[in-house]
Amino acid sequence: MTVAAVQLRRRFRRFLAAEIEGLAAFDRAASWDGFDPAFSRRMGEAGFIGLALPREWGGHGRSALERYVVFEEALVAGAPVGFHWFADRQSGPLIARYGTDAQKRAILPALCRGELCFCIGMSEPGAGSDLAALRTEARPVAGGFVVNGTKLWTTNAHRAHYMIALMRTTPRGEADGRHAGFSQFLVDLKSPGIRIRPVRDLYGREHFNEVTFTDCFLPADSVIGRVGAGWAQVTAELALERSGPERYLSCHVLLTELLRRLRGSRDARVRVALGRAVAELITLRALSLGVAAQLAAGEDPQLAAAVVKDLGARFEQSLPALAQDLVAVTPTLDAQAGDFRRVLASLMLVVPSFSLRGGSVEVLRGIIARGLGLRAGGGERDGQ
Amino acid sequence: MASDGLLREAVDRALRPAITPAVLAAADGGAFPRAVWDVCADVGVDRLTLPADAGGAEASPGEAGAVIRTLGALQAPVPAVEALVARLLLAAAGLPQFDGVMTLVPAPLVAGADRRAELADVPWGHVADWLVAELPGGSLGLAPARGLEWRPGRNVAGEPRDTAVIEVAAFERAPLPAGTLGWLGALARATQIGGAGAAILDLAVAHAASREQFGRPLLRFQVIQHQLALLAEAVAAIDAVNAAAWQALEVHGLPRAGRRRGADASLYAIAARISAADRVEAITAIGHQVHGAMGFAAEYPLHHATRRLWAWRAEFGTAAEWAAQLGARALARGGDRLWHDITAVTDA
Repeated sequence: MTVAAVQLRRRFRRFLAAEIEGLAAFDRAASWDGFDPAFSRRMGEAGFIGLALPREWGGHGRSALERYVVFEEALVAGAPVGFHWFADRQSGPLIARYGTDAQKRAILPALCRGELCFCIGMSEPGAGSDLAALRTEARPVAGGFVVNGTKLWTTNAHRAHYMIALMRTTPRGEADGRHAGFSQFLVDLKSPGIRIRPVRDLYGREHFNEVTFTDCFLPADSVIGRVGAGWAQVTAELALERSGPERYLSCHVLLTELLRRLRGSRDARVRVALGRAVAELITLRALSLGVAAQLAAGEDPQLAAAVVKDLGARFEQSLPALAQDLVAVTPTLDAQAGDFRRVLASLMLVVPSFSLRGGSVEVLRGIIARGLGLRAGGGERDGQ
Repeated sequence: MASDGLLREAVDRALRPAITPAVLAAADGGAFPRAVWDVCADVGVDRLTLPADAGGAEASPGEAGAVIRTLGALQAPVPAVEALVARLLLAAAGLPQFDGVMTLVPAPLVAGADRRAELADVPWGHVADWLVAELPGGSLGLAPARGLEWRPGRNVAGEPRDTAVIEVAAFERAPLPAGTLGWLGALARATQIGGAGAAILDLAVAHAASREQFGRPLLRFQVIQHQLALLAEAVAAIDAVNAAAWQALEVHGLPRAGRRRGADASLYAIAARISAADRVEAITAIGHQVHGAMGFAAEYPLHHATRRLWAWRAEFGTAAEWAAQLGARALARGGDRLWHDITAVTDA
């Protein structure tokens, strides 16, 4: 770690300690699903959003490693970062890299102040792991595009200001290859012709949405990057989406609560199980920091990110069962129940999504196999 | 760590031609490949981390880790890793560096009433000139290995693991915090596992590319691709945590007697040890499954690597023993300190 990164960690820890003091473990366990616009605004004001974005657009011009430090500290603390998470993690960097000056001016300063919530318009009813099967079409017309189609599983669409959407700008039959003819758009979700309907998840929460575009007009200047270059851009975006510490730290609160609850235990079974969990946590952080270093060096972390994400998902998914092996309590979401039982229940109900969001593990293993030289070509991807 | 690659490549270039299938097979049968040891000594593998005036290459711990991984990948049938670690410890404790074959005693010595102690499962004990061991009371000891009555033994990889009894007074000693030899040896084994694991991955990928079944190469089957991806992930995970542990050693150094204990590399070394040992099962299982019956043939090289993995995961403490220790440490520190302790190692 650099001196600057270590100092930043200290400063951010002080900020977080004051902000989330007294927040129950159950709320902290929501991790990057925790949604609190006022908190995001304070975090932006304090200078902790848009760390690696250029200063001229309101960012802080820091390194990818420093950005990583803030991400991991926020996750470990269980800070409610959901409002700005996607914006900070991928939409901001995407716009900074491919956007026009006008787009940067309009978006990045407010994003860095923690005032903007973004959602990611990739998945569709017929396009999950096979993203290239998406059908939503942005047809060129005078002055812009007219969009028709449906995005699905779009987290936070109902409370986001913007969506970064991948759409087809060349009809399927006319595109030159499976990955040609896509473009990315900055969609103002207040635009006429957009209907957003919640999709309740098995937990009972409504963060997913179905977003329907019906003859929705998008001005020409809402294209991000180059028309037709959407696939290459989205691949770079996915590398950012997959590589972060949230791919192994989303259940961290459960591990710390377990240690707290079992403190002083002399049970060999408890020690061995928790020792193994700590070893895996250290292993995953070493892997994940390696990805951050690759990003900082301007290398393509796609392969290493796939490894972190697959191993990270398996680690996180193992923790609720581990907790139940070590502490004999029944999980429940009842508000009057103890914090530990509620944390356990809430994580149990979300962990199945960990091996899906951001790319199913099957897709990731395909990427790794390609990296081993076992496969040619590419074609699959993600979720959120 | 920019020069990691150079030292590693030099060792690889010198050793690879010396470790032929015939040499490995002969070592398996109990022969000591003196020529391989001589190459190691000529290249200076054992003195890698020592200062130039002690005949060393002044390599950093990160570079030493990279070389140990290479020795694991080559399955070098000599105590080169033991000697490298032994000399690193001797230097830290301020004990002399004598010439010759040097090895480590894996378990701390327990002296009996007669002031004698058993040296159990000492790697290449019967051919060693010098022994480095942890003595009771937090010190490191150096003693001649010649002249002891060695009872030869071997681990499942056919590597010599010999036993003898020694007078504790035979050791020249200097203070070194208790446990240091244990976790550094464990990290070295984890690092060798990373190297040999990568060798298994290479063999499995090459086999899947050349072997045809059902009218196509094995690697065309998605189920095989996914198995190999899991194998590659296991190797990548081991390599990452090992590298982090050697890096931590580079930053914090070895613990010194009498100095207050702050963050040190032991947390990461133990984590690396657990992580590597626990991944042996997946690596060897997938490696063998992809190879089919071929992997069981004595003349095919796979077993030299897989048997070493099975042997190495049990040496210098098992994963469960280390996990019990790491778990006890985490439980004593409590949930709030866990992350602080993990980041303190890399933030220094």
